[in-house]
Amino acid sequence: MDADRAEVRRRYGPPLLRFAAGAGFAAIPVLFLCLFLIYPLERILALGLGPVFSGGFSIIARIARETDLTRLLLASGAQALASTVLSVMLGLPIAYVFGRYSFPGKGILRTLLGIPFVLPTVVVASAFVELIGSGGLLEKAAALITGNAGVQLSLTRSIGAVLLAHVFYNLSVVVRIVGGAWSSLDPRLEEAARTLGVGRFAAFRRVTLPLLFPALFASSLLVFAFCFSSFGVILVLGGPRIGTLETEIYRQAVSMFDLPSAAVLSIVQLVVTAAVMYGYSRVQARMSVIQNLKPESLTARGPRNMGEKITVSLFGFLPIMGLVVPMLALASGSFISRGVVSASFWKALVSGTGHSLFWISPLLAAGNSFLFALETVAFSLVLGIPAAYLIAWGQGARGGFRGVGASVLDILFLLPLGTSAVTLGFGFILSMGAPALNLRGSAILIPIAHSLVALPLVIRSLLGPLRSINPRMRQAAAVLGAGPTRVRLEIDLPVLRRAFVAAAAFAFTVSLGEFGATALLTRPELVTLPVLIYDSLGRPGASNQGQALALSTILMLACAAGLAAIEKFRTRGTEAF
Amino acid sequence: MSFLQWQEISKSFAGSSALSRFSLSVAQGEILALLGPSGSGKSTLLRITAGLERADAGAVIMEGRSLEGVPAHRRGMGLMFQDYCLFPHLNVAENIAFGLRSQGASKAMRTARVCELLALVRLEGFERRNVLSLSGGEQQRIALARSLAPSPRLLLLDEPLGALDAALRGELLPEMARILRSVGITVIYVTHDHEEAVTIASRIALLDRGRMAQTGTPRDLLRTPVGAFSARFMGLGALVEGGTGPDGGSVVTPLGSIQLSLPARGENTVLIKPDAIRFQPCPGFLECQARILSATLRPVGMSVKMALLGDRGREYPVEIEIADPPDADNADWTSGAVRTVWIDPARCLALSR
Repeated sequence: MDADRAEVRRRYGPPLLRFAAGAGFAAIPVLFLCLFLIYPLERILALGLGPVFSGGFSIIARIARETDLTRLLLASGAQALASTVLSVMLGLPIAYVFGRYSFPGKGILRTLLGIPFVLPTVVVASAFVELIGSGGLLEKAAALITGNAGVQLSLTRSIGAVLLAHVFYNLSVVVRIVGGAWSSLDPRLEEAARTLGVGRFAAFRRVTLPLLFPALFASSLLVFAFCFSSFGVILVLGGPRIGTLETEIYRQAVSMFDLPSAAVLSIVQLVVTAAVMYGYSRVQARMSVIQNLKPESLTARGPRNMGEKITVSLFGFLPIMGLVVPMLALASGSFISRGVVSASFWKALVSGTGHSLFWISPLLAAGNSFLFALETVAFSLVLGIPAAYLIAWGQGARGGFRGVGASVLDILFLLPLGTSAVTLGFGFILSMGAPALNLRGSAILIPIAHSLVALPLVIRSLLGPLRSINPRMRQAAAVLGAGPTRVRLEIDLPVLRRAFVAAAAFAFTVSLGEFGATALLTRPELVTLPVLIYDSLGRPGASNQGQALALSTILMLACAAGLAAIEKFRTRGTEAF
Repeated sequence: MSFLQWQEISKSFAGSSALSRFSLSVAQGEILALLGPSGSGKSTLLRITAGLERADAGAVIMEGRSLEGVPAHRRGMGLMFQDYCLFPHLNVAENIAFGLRSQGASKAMRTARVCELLALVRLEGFERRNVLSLSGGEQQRIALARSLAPSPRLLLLDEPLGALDAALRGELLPEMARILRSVGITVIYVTHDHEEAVTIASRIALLDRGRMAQTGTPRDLLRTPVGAFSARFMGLGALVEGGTGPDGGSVVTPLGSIQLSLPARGENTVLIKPDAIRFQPCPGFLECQARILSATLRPVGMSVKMALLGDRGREYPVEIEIADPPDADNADWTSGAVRTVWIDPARCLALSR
C-alpha cells in the first residue's frame, strides 16, 4: 500500500499539488461561466428587480404597462405555439416514413432535412424574402401566370411568413426526435394490438401514440423554446407590426436605450425559456426509460405495395423538396440581376465600394466572421473538453459529492441554451462596462458570446463518446503498465478524436450564423456576415438585396459544409439534443 | 368439416421462397405444432394466418370462409409473439383488457375477465404490476392471458417459450399444456424444439424449407418417420446412407450390409434407432465398431454418446440410454475407447433421403 502511494507520489507529485491541478482543470470552465453568464444575468436581475427592493412594484408595473408586456407575452406565445403545432403536424408523417421505412436516398434526404436547422436565421430570412417577398420568385411566377407584370404579391411582413420560416427551421427537430423514437419502437407492438382485434388507426392511437408521446412532447417543447426566443426571422420577416419579447428587448436596449425596460423584459423571457427547457430536460430523462428498444435495421423495411410507396414518396420526398425550394431560391436569386443571369452581385462583393457613407466591406465582414468562428472553436474546445470530462467523471459516481457536483455542472452548462441570444448580448452590455472588467467594445466579447451559445451543443456532443469509453478498457491499459497520461493519449484520444472534430464543427457553424447576441455587441469594424446581411436587407435598392442574397448563399454553403462535417464525425447514436 | 384450412399457400421474400404450395387442415380443438428449423417457413405461415403478412398465392379458410382481405383485427384470432410484445405503457390488467376494450366490454366485465385469466395463469393479484418489472416467465403467462382474453376462436403461438432458458421452459411447458387444454381452444403452436412439440401437440406438421416434410401424431413422427429429414430433425438415431442391395431385401452401407425385414424400394438411407444397438454378440446382427464420445452414469443405467465407425473414416453419431450396461466400471467406456457393437436389423428403418 505504502509502496503504491510512494509510486503515485513519485509520478504525479504530492497530493495537494494533484488536487490543485484537478481543481484548476475544473475551475477554468466554471469561472468562465460565472464571469460571462452568471454575472451578466445577475446584472440584468439587479437592474430589472432592483426597484422591487427600493421602491416597490410601481416601477415594474409602469414598465409592464408602457411596454405592453401582456400583449408581447401573448404575441410571443401565440406565434411560438402556432409554429410548434404546425411543425409537429407536418413533422409527424415525415417522422413515420423515416422511422418505419428504408428507401433509396434516405440518408441524403435526412441530411437535406437537417440543413435548415443549422442555417443562420438571417439566411433563412433572406431566403424567404427572395421566395415570397416583394419582387420575389412567387411574385414573378404570379406575374408570368396572370400575364400582368404589375402584380403585387408579397407574403413577408406577416405572421404567415414567420410561421413558414419557423416550420422550415424546426421540421428537422421534430423528425429527428420523433422519427428516432419511432424507429426504435418494435413494430410488432402494433401488430400485437391488431391481433387483439384493434384496427390500424385504433392501434396507432392506443399503442404507438402513447409510446411516442414523450418524444412528441419533448420535441414540441424544444420547438416552442426556439420559436419563443426567435429573433432574426421575426425581425426580418415579421415586419414592424409583429413584436415579440425578444425583438422588444432588442428595440428597448438598442433603439430606445431604455435599459431598465429591457432588463424587465429579459427577466420575463428568461423565466419562460428556462421553464420550458426545464420541462424539456425532465421529459427527455423520461424518454430513455422506454424499454425494448430495437435497432433501426430491425424496425425499418422497404415499402412493399403501391399504397406504401405513395406514402413514402408523399411524406419522405415531397416535404424535403419543399425545404430545398427556399434554399434554391436564395442561391438562384443571387445570380439574377434585373431579370437576367449575371454574377454582378458576386462581383460587387469584392470590387464594390458602395455609394453610401455607411457601406461596409463584405470582405471585412467575412474576415471577421471567420476569425470569430475560429476563436469560438478554440474557446469552446478549451472550455468544453474539461467540462465534459468533469460531468462524465461525476456522473460515474452516482450521488455523493462527485455526483451532485456533476449534475450541478450539467445544469450550469445547459443554462446558455435557456438564455436567449439577445438576453445574452444585453447582459454583456450591462456587465462588461464595469471598471474591473472593461471589455465593452472589445472584439473578444463576440466570440465569447458565441462560445456560450455553442457550449451546450459542444458538451452534449462530447458526453456521449466520453461515456462510451469502457472503463475496463482503461483499467486493462493501466494493468498493462500505462500511466494516466498514456491512457488518455492512447485509449481516450483515438475514440474522442472524431468527437472533437464534430464538436469543433458545431462551434464553428454556431458562430458563423449567430445573430441575436452579435447584433447587440457589434460595432462597424466588428461586423459579421449575419449582421451585414441583416443590414443589407434593411436598405433599399436591388444591389443591397443582391448583396444580402450572395452573402446568404456563402453562409448557407459554409453551414452546410459544417453540418456535413458534424454528420461525418459525429459518433452514431449520440444526439446533440 | 375442418376448422382451419391452408390451401396451396406460397410466399417468397426478395426472390427466395419461404413457403411453397403448403396445404393442411386443422380440426376444431386440435393443438397443431408447426415444427421445423429456422427458415422452414413456419413463422411466415403463422403471420399469414394472422393477417400480418399476405400470401403470394393460396388461401386461408376458416370455418368454410376465405380470410382473403379480412384485416388482422377482424379475424378473431389471438397471436402470442416470441418476446411477448407486452405494451410497456400499460400495466398488467390494462394489457390483458386491451382486446376486451375494443369488443366494447363494460368496465365490470373487463375487470371480471382479467381476474379470471390471471387465475387461469396463476398470477392472481398482479393487476397493477408494471409489465417491465415482471420476470420472463411471468411476462410469458401475461402475454398468454392477453391473447386469450378476447376469447379468440384460434390461438396462434409463435415460439412461446423461445425467449426462456431451458430450466424455465421445462417448468412452463406442462403449465402451458394444462392452460391450453383447459380452455379447449384450437391452437397453432410454432416451435423449432421437437420435444416441446411432442409434449404439447395433438398433431405435428414438420416443415422443411417451405414444404411439408411429414404430418401426424407425435407417435407417428417418433415411430415411423417418412424420410431422412424427419428422422434427423426428431433425433431418432444414427442415419447411414447406402444403396439398395442386389436382392432388394438389404441396404449396402459403409457399416456393412443390413438385412431389412421390409423390402427396400429404392430407398437409400438407413435409420439405426438407439435400441438397435447391442453390446453383446447376437446371431444375425450386423457387427461393427463404435467409438465412445462420452458416457454419463445415470441413477439407472448409463447415457452414452458414440459414433458408429464406417469404412473410409466415416462416422455416424448416435445417443443411447443403456439400462443395464455390461461391465459398467470398465475402462472401455472412457471417451475415445473403441468397442464392438451389434446392430439389430429388425430395429432399422429404410428411408428416402
